[in-house]
Amino acid sequence: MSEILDKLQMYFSYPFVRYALIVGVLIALCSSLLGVTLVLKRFSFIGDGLSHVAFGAMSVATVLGLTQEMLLVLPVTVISAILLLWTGSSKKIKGDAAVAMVSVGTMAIGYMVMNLSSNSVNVSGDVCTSLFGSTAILTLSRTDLLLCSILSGVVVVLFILFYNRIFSVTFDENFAKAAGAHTNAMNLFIAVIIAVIIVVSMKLVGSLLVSALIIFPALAAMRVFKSFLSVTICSAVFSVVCTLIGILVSILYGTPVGSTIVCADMIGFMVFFVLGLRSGKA
Amino acid sequence: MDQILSGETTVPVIAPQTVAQPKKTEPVSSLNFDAEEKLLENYTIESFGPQEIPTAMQIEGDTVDLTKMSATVCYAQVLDILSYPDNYLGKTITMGGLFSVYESPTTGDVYLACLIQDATACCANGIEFICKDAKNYPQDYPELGTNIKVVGTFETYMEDEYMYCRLKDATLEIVQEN
Repeated sequence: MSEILDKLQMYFSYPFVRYALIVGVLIALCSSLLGVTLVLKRFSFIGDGLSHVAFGAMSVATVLGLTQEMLLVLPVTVISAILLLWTGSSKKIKGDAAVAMVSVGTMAIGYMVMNLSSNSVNVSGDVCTSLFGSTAILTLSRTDLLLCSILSGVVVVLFILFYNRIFSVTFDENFAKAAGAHTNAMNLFIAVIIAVIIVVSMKLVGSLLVSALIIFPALAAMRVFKSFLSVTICSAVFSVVCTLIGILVSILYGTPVGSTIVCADMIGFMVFFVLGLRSGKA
Repeated sequence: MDQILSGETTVPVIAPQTVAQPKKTEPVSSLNFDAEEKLLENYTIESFGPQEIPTAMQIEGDTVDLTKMSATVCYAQVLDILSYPDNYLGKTITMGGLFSVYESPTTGDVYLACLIQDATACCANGIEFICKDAKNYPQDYPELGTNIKVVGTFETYMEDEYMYCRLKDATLEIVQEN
């Protein structure tokens, strides 16, 4: 045990490890907050779809040689989120079909663009890092740290400020609309926030695994708690703890960061599932 | 080297250097800070590719032992060294990895490096090294891909307007796999 603590002390002396922990916790926190809403609105797979869009945009940004990829990735992902989540019921291709179409299409375009035009000396490595987030979180610059921190902070503050409206739109959108709430504006707001979270979360776990950050904390909390507030708080705590455990285990034992975090989420979900069964709430 | 000349790489890579007769040019990393600053004025950020100017971060201690780190942190540390070389100048770096060689297609010079792979082994980064004892390649060196341990002093040097990183006065040891 003392050996592990000594090793951790050594690792914490490195700035990039401290940055990874700070950003990891912030990303876990803000992704878990919106995860509850997404799961309840049956949009669990939107994370996957939007992360693939972000991957495609990131590929184009890389090929264009943009210093800061966020300049392209964030707007493209936000627009896609609005198109997928906010456009009304009159759209011809709906729900999961639209998500699937956009998801695979943008991923294929992204990989094609990377292979045909990339300046990178290691396309497979860059793609692997983007998809699975093996060490991306450990290679953050100070600018990345500031950007991720600001975006995460904004998401958390907005969630707290608009908590009641998010709650009403999540559980009964029609009633909320009848009661005079601006549900379209709220849905647009949620779509934009989700896009921001997805883009920021890709640094932590990569494109393919970002859904785990959204889904597992919410589902685990729902096994044990009943009210929206308690599920949200439990989801946030669950996500932060699992992310911390995942990052620490990965740096101690040399495992990929993204996969380790998702494995920690899965184990945590199983624990909560058993707890839920025992308390009779599953 | 070709990627550097075309400005495509984002990090310094191993560079032209004759193995048997190391250059006798004054290394940038010595305690001659004035010379270092003067040389640094002559290179632009393009030598690193599209990347921000590194901010000063104090790395504690005079040694960096990559062999004591997990694969995940080790890879990230090497990337940090190559991205922010000023923070590691003069430090003794111990690293373990795969023996790798790059031969310049234009000059024919051979450059030696120790490559470290990340946890998924899909990405690798490495640092060039020059042995303390004059050795000839390939007779005095192990086969490509052999697990090696290199200990040397980190320095940067200029060549053809670009800055490169390497370990000077390095000792090379073959690591026996269990």
